[in-house]
Amino acid sequence: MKQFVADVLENSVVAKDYREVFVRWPDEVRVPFPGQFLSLRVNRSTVPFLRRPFAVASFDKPLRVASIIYHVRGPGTEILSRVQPGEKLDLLGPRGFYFRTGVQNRPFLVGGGTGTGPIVYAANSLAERGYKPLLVLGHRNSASFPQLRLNPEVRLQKCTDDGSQGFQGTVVDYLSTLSTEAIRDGFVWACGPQAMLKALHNWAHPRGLPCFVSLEQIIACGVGACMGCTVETVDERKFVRVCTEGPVFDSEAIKWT
Amino acid sequence: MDLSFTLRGRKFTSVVGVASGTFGYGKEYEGLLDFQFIGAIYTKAVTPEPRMGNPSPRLVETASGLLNSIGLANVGLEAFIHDKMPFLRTLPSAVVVNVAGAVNEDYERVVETLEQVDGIHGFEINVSCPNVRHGGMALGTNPRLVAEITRSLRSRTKKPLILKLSPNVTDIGATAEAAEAEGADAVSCINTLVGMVIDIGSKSPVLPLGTGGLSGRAVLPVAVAAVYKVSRRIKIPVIGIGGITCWEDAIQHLLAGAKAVQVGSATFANPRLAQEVYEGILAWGSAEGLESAGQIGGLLGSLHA
Repeated sequence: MKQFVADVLENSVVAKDYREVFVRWPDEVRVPFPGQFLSLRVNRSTVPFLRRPFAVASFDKPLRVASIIYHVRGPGTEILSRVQPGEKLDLLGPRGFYFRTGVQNRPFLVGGGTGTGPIVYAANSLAERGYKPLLVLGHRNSASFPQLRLNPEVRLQKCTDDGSQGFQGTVVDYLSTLSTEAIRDGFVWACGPQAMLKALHNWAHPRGLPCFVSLEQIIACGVGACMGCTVETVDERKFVRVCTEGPVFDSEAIKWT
Repeated sequence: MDLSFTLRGRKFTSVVGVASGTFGYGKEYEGLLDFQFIGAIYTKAVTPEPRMGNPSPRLVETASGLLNSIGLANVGLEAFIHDKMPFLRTLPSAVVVNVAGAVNEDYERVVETLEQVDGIHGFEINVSCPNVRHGGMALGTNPRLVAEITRSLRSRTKKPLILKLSPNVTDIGATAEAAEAEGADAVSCINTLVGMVIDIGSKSPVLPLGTGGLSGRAVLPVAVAAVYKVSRRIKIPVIGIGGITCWEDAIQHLLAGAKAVQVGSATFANPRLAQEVYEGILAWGSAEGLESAGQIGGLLGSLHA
């Protein structure tokens, strides 16, 4: 993890209320793993007071360009949305426990809302390593689907609440239509709203599929110092920090409330 | 210009410290700034036993500030000694252990145990945490109880003893005087202010316990006023803390009468803050023709009313 300044190359709309910002990745900073995050300082003022954590949405190795996809929904992302190409961003990262493969070889990658960016990066990374991931993305409607750059080996299944694109229903509704045979030897990686992750855990767990989820939490320091971003685990004596032990966790370790 | 700071005969290489709860146990910020500039690391609070802390959410961002309810989550005395001290000992910064507990015996046990541990330069007694039901602020808002715990800890340590004051009182000078009278070497001024944020959607406080402790730039004027007031009531040094987000803020604390400062939650946005504050004080003081940081308080003009 380093604190560094990166040049903004592009900051454009990718869906309704969603934008993607691309930065030039300095040579001295190592390549971020899928699921790892960056803490952005959007300006030099005290409003907002904290950095904003975002998981990496893409990394172009030859060009050394990284991106994050963000939902414009508060003062921090509002300021970020006005950053122009040629300006600089103050970044802290890459950081955190990331998505790691196990012995299973059929990946189901599930994303929703702001979790779309990081899960797309994870899907593309798996494809580069010879996996054939099924990427299941859920959004409210077709307007909120970001434009994606997918490896051809990634199979995409869109789901919308209103059926305006792809399957009508939630990502878990879709996964529930798959046969036992179709999910054999599968594993799940997911990033998205808490309710989606919980439903996904409840789907994967009884079917014996390892399920790793990237959790969102308000993060203050982003380096493991402040103990502010903790979540509860099934071990009654233990909280874990999203910024340090996470953001990616085995869903079985989390106490879902 | 001399930016060192001496307490009970112990020299701290810089007047700039990093505040308890915002800098973990030091290791978390390894590689992000030069520790040479940090005079003292005030550790995450240490209690006799490990503490999980409060349920989440523990944080709410506010206008130029942060409301927290961490609840003294920490690894406990044994793990602090065995897991955290080995790294802290390697640093050029002094290590001041922030001590917390539910009852006086907790504070006594931590201080007594750590008195024998190599590499600890002093103690900062947290009688001002607003996020625990016992100990913490319940102690620090009562001058009689502050006197009692100071006396008890004074008899247990020869190291610098610093009482961290709560601003959530009518007269912060009274608690400062109680600490001084019983042998404290300094006071840190101030801990967080009690605050609440309500979500008007759910019509509930955002933090599970309702209130939390407010820090950040928003509290700077409150902290500066407290430093000003306290430094005129006691002779022992005041360590200014609260709202420092740049070197200019630190100069305000020093002009108000602080002999040293701590930077706190603004480190989250700017990990190099302590270093920048050091460099800023040095440049400003040199331009003012000062020989030491200790002279800054003397520059404050008199009041006009």
